[in-house]
Amino acid sequence: MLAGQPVGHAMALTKNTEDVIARASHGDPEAFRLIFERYARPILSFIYDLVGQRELAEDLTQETFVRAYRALNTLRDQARLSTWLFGIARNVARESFRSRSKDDRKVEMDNDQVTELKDDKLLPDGELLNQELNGVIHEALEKLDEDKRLVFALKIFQQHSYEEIAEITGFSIPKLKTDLHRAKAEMRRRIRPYLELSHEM
Amino acid sequence: MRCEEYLPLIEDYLEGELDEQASHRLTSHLAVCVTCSREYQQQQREQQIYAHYQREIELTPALWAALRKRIKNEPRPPMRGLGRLRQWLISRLAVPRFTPAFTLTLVLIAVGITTVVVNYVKSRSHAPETEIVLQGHKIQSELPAPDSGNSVPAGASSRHGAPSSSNPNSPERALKESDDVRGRGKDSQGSIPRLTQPLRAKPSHKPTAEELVREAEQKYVAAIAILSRDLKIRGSQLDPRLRAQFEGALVAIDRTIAETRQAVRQRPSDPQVVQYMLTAYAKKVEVLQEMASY
Repeated sequence: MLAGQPVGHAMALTKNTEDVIARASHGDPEAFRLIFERYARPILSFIYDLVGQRELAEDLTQETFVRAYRALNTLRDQARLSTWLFGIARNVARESFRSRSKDDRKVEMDNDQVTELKDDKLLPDGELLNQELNGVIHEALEKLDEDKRLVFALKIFQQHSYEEIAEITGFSIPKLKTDLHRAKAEMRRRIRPYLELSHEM
Repeated sequence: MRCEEYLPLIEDYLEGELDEQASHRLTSHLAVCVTCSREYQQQQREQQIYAHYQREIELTPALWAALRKRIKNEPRPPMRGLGRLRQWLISRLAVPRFTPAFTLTLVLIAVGITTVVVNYVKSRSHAPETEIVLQGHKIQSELPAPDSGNSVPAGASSRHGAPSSSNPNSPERALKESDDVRGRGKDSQGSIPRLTQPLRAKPSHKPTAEELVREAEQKYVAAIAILSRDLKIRGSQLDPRLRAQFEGALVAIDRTIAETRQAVRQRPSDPQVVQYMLTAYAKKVEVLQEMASY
């Protein structure tokens, strides 16, 4: 299970990292593997937050890195590798999102998670609550509209700056701040009961 | 400022997007305002919950395996303009141009040349007529055999008791007997008689032993220059203490090279001196190669 801990901003690219990017852009698979290992987890989490399905998130993560591999030699500013990868991931997820109907997406959501939790009597109360809360957050994310979910995931889970989010999404900073504010308000409304419960635990 | 103005700043503050001055004003306000302080604590609590959000998904090795399979046959698009120049510069400046395999090949070639030259010089002490095979090229000495114009049978060349190891078909020996020594004096034992047949001019120049030695020396010098240049570029990556040890060894080797070179200039046909000099060069290549491997 992937922790939702923030992964931080793009890592400060050292000379070695630049060499790795240069080698990967020449087609060195081992160098590209290093890039994959560094970014696969946050990209997979991000895509999962956007599409809400495990298998689809894995497929789209794979597609993201294939596109990155093909276009790595067009990356102008190597210090922006993280932003660049998230931008590709966002486009890949959006294409997928648009090719599927909203109803399909809802049917394929991981609703079995709630049933699973109800059957598990051995979990301590605190852990059970956390698992339930995870499910609630997941569902609340699903209910946000596309732009709000995108901005919320990039800011709250991936902890990108407003400038980086603007670069990834193409949104203006005022728009993304408004979307973020509304997304947080919606999320707050949905998780409010759990806020107090988890505080008591 | 009133609470209505502070409340929107709480979000930015928690996101780390508020500048220092505004942050200071907000924290001062939070210290005295119960309403804003409660809102701050609630948003902070939300942040903690999101930070502990666990997704029902795992990064598995299968993902890389599948990705690797897909990119394996991906064609690399050609580099464009500045991108190509940049990659060229990186490859020139950041990565040693000699792979270990290539450097090893270079050393083996140099050692091979040394062996050939030393054997050739030695053979001149015993065989009156030699024909050299060097690096796949058949090289004849300056003068042709009196009868064939190229080489003479092995038996004919052994008339003065040449050792059996001088068999021209011996694979480990890259020398064949020829009529090289005519007109060039005798070896140190004085056992090689001068031929009596008239000289026959050759259309092309054939290298002498001295020329071969010089050629081998030049190859070593070129290899050393290239390795030294690469090391100079990558010099800062070597541990200073280790570098000092290597440089001490190189100084000693350089001294040996200088002394043996002088000796070779004075006694160019002395096989031992030639061997010492080429061994010193080979040692220097070896040390530089080891330095490059760090």
